[in-house]
Amino acid sequence: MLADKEKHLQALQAIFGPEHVLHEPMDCFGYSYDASPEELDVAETPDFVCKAHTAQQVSALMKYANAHKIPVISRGRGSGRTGGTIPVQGGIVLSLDEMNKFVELDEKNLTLRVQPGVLTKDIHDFCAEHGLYYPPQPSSYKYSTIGGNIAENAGGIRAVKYGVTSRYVMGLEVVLANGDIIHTGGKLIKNVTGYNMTQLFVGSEGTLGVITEATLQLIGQPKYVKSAMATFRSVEDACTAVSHCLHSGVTPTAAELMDKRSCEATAKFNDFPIAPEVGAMLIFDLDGNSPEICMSDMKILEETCKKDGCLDFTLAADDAEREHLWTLRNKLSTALKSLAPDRIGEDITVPRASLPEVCNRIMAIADRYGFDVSIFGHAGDGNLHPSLLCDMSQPGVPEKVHDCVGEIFQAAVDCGGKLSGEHGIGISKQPYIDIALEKEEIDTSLLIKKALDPNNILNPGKIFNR
Amino acid sequence: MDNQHYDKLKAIVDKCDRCGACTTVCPLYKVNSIDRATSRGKIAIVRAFLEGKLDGGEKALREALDYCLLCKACTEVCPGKVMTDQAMIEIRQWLREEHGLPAKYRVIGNLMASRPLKNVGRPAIGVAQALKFPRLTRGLLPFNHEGPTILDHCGPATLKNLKNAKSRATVDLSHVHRVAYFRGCAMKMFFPKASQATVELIKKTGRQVDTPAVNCCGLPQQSHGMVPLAKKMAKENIEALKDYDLIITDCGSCGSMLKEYAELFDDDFTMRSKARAFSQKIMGLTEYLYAVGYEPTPHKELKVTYHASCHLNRAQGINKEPEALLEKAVTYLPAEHSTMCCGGAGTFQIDFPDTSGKVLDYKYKDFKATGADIVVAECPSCLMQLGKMERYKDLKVLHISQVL
Repeated sequence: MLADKEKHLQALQAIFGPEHVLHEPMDCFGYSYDASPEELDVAETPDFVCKAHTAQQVSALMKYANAHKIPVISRGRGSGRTGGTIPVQGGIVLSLDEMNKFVELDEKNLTLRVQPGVLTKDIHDFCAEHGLYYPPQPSSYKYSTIGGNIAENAGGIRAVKYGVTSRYVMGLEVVLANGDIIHTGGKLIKNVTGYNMTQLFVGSEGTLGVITEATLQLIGQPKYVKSAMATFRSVEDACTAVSHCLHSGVTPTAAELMDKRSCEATAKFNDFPIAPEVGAMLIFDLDGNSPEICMSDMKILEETCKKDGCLDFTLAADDAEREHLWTLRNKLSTALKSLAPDRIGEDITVPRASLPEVCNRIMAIADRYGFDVSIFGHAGDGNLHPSLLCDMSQPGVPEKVHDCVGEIFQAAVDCGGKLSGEHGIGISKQPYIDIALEKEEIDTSLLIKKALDPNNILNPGKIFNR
Repeated sequence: MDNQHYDKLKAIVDKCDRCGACTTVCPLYKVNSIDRATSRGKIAIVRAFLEGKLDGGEKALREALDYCLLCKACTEVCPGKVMTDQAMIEIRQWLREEHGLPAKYRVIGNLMASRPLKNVGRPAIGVAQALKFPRLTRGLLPFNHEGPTILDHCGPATLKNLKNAKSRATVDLSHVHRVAYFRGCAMKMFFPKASQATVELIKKTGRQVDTPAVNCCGLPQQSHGMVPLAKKMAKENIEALKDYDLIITDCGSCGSMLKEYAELFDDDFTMRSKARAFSQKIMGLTEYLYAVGYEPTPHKELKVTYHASCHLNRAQGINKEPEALLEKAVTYLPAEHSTMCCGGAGTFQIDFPDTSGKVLDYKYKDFKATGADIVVAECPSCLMQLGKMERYKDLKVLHISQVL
């Protein structure tokens, strides 16, 4: 809790207007959590929540907060999965959800400038109206903001073909800890003028600056999408098939993997029959500019999968079937959560070829701890979400889960991977960061943090707990 | 907190993983974007309270949890189908048992439950005003309506859950002998012309219809911590209507409540099965008209848009029927966000007139964009709120029965 609250309140109201500063405890409590499984903690309620509408307001706030050494935590819709926006040291939550304007669409350069509070889905819809495409689609796209997507470098299912958020961020307007406003990058495909400052802020989880505008790169919208489901005896077979598919020159938009446990949960939850010999399932999306191209590419995927022991390859005949297929995948988290009181979902990322090995290791680890585990994720890009099914209210379980997750992370690192593919570190994965990063790399990161935020006021206590 | 309330609440809040999907549909978040207004915000407050972490006092808690339209829009988009409205009703009931009920809800609930009082209808409004409940009347009165308006309670939602929402009356319409029109409190007190139009419509389908004396459906009492009173009224209504084999109501709120009476009698097996049999005889007006293939006389000169009442659409799944009938009867111009709550929600408009007004302004823009001159709805509670738009003098608000 801050001292001199009244004085700070007046200062903040002068910057944002009285109606845009929340200070009642119940109002502020609504900004003490995000979509992570972190326990609710009233002590982490921010002292103030400020609703920003301009970069100038953000700049004035940072100058004030820097002078008084008050923590500032930027937040979009609070849909992060790792506690990144939880104000662990109190202070000010800077809510950017009302900075939600489309600033400029440049159809000649295929770029879009947006404020950080725009929902990713609204960007998709806006682009579609103009025959354009912003590919990244994290599963939270309907309710997460582009600012949050950039700060966490969100991924999603289309990364196999189109890559993750960072690939589409061409430039940023950032307010620094001292209140300076900088403009990085531009509408430039090529740019080696100085350091790549834009990418420094992508994935920085609000610890280096506040993003107040982004210039995004767009592409033309693919006209047709086809989907298919392929079943296999084992995760190995499925992963081998994905690898061969990519070799074939046909890159699917999405190649989602579900292991046996996930298939069983899907079957049970959706009343959807899956043959008993099925040990893994892939869902493919494939896009193109004509139905013929889509179909011939799909044929190549089918033949490749069949060579790798695919049991059954089913093409979605129409949009309704496509929709149904993806509903199975989209409901998976919920289906799994219905099997146990708690689902501890992780977000490891490994080189694609290591997928079968890391899956086997994870199952062996969970088995040793006596946890039910299901593994699903983005086989096309090596990003997996192993989920431990457990009951955290039972004595001893949280400690066991902590240790088990630690071993899973170690397995990922041993296979050449890292802790997070798309959720970030926040506070949830902080205890494990030493497993994934060398000391020298952490030290270098901290030097950058120190240079940009000497008073450690930007989202303090996140990523590196030092 | 006792185990019964605790277990029910815990089961609901445990399903929320705070993903934030509800932020995209919550009407309250749309107009003021404060996280505690959303479903996850209120669920977090309940959870923190259950975990003994929240100590803001009973008043702050009550105020935070009254700030809900109970419109179920969140549950519809929620991946885990968290029943926020149920949680709100449950904790309001506990708050009432623990700390008593605020006077205004007591007055409203008891007034609605009392037939003699209700029969004085309009004089009762004067009484309430004389009793100096300015906040009670402020924000409630439509500007130009069939009669002055007060005490709208058929608003807040009920204990039902979405999997039951699509349940339909199983009345075999070919074997119906006696038909009753369930004239709810608000229809009776504030919309007598619309009420008459409903009766005429039912007659046009070739059936005789009675309008027996009934009690309030019990929804306002259930929503504000007076479940025992709601049970009592449910019993009276079941008894009063026992000789009818089809009961039609033109109030979405009453309809949703009447169809879910069984939920009230968790602990009483006999009443539960009686209530279930009763509920199977209930049909909404357009649900009935659609089922019997009613052909309205076209009035294509009327440009009409439609507001889908939460209790009709989400609670009962009655959606295609009113729209199909409107297509035949008038020039129907569908509005964007037609299923978004109008912001009335019974006592919500009294407690939070500013927010309620902002939600209505949002709806008004959507209605105007259609080019329609008339807005219709199948729930008097919504009509009271929507009626406030008549101050703009360019939209008329009617019950759907008046254009069919």
